[in-house]
Amino acid sequence: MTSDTVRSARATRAWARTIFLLALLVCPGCASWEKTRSDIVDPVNSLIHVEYPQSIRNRDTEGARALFAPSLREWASHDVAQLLQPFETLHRVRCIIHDATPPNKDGVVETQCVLRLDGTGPSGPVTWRQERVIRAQRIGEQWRIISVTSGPVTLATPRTRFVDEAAERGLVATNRTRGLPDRWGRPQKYLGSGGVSVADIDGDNRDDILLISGDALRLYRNKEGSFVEATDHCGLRTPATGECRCAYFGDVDNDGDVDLFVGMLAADDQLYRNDGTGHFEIVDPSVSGLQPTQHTSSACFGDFDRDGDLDLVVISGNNMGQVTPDPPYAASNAHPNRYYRNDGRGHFTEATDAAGIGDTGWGLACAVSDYDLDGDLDLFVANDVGLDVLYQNQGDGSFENVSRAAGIVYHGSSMSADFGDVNGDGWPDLYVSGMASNSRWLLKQPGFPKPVWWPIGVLLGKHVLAVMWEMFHGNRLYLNQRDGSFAEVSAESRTDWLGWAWSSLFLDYDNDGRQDIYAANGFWSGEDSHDC
Amino acid sequence: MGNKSLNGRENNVLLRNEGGETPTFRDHAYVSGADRIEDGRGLAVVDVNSDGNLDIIVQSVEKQSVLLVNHGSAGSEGPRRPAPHWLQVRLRGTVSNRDAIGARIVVRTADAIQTREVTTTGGYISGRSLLSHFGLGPHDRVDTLEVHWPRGAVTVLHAVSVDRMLIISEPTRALTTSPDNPVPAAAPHATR
Repeated sequence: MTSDTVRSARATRAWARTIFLLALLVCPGCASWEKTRSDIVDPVNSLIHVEYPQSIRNRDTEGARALFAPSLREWASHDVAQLLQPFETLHRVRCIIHDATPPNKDGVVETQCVLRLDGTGPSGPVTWRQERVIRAQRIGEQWRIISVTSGPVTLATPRTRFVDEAAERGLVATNRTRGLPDRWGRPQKYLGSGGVSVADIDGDNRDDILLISGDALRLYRNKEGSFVEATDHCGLRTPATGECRCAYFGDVDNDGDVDLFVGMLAADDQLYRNDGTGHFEIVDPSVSGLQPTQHTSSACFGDFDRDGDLDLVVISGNNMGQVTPDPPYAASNAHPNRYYRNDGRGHFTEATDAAGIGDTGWGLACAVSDYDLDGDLDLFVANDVGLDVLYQNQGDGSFENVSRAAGIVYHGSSMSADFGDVNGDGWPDLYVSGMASNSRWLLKQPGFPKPVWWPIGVLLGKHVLAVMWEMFHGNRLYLNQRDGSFAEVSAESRTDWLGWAWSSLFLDYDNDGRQDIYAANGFWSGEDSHDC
Repeated sequence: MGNKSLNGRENNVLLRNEGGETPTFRDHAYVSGADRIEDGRGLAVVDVNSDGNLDIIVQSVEKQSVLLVNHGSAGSEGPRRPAPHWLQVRLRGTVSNRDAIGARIVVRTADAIQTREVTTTGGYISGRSLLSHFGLGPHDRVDTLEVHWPRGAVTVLHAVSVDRMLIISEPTRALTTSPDNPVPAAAPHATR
């Protein structure tokens, strides 16, 4: 496109946005939406976020019933005594609503939800979880439960497996974020840094730990399972400005020790060489060949061209507080990913165009795997506010975007990805984490204001809301079909609706030979627990 | 956002794989002591104390780092259930890149195949250990262990003993092999 065309397209978009805002103010759906909000949305939302404190903890059945009983909460009260049976104490009760239909002509609402209680029973911690489909009818100011279908599951163990031993093992650090400035110069604390990387930096066959806080890199050496901070004398230099984002270990010069790449936001990326003892020396960009990027969100090492040294892929995003993703369901106005080819001595040459991975999606994470078992490393890029990309390696470090053919076509906000064989068939499967919004069911309520210019809303409203529905669907598990494609099985495998998941990883925590999953959830917990 | 929240106070989840061709998962985070309620971000999985149980490091927004040490299941499933077996593998590339990033390790026991790939990156803004960990359940021996090195060579080991870390070096000659004609086993050595 010429620069005139670009300017003209930008002007059109700005104009369209202005009209959209005006349309929101005067659109005919607003009055009915306000009514829906007060009648349905607010009561259900307060149900989600209500805290269930002392009465339940004390197994005060009447108190619990009183808490559950008013209006829509009535559905949860009918079996409260049975509910409390496995518990001596309760620590937490949660209700998560997956879906709620708008009222039909008889005023009946159908809700799919999960009720979950965590507490302690006579022999140890207990989780009680039930998925329910509840049909409720509104009669006057009250709700009447028509039917409940469910099948509860109780999990109990006599002994807690995991214990936080960070303090006693010497891993003491607070994760902070400097916060990139938004349009108005305010730091965006909620975006949140907080990476962690592990590798044996000193050759003792024990994994050492690098904690990546927004404002500091902290290195800890593993001494017989406890940690000694080695930040001061290890040679790592946290830049005075910008946000430390991510760091990855890899032996870029094949000299027998792991070197380190550090990805930065609003500062330049860094490459460090290890002298073999765990002491790192920064490599000047004129030697390392790293280009100034300022928008690095993730990276991975791999010998993509199969010449015996580690090449580097750097994934870039953009600053959400300053730039609006455009279009918001398939954004492509971030910065291009970069591909660096290694000359065997740790000197990198950018070869993004030849590699073909320079897409401008809002990249947040990447994962590599030989998913098609053809002997080379392929690349998956998890993009925020848009479409993920699966790049198939053509064998020489050049890639082809095969997402559509592989069945990975999904509008979402992906935040991380991991490959692992979950069903033991020898083929790598893929797990991608995304946002499961508590409030997604609002999209189905009548009069929900469509966030597009109203004539588009009238013509294509259903499709707009369908895309938004997809975007808040949560995590996705893709099973490798052994023919170059993947099948999404998130719902059947019960891996989709977990929360606002950032990192998720495969691990076999119970050594039973099957890959389990751990996921870190939550976007922002303010003083007020209600969603903003 | 003011002082309000957005998907706040969510618990981290630990989904246990219950098996099947399309496996189903159940959240064991609370009963396992792993359901941190913080705004979680980066994660890493590592065996910090080399006891054969994978531990988890969690980074959350404006919070102290958390090291969830896995104390295994001893005693939790009845006294007659022995602790499950495990095997850890660290690779040394010679012809391939030295960390053997991109290698695929296949472990076969009587009733299952498990696969791991050596990679540097996993999850959100986090780096993965180059150590590959296999849980083996009741199996006190691995029937075969194959390493598919990044540059094409294949190492096959038979009847591998378990509950230890194994270091395997790539055969130094660049051989073209197939599973039908495997490279003679490289000299592995255990560290404990």
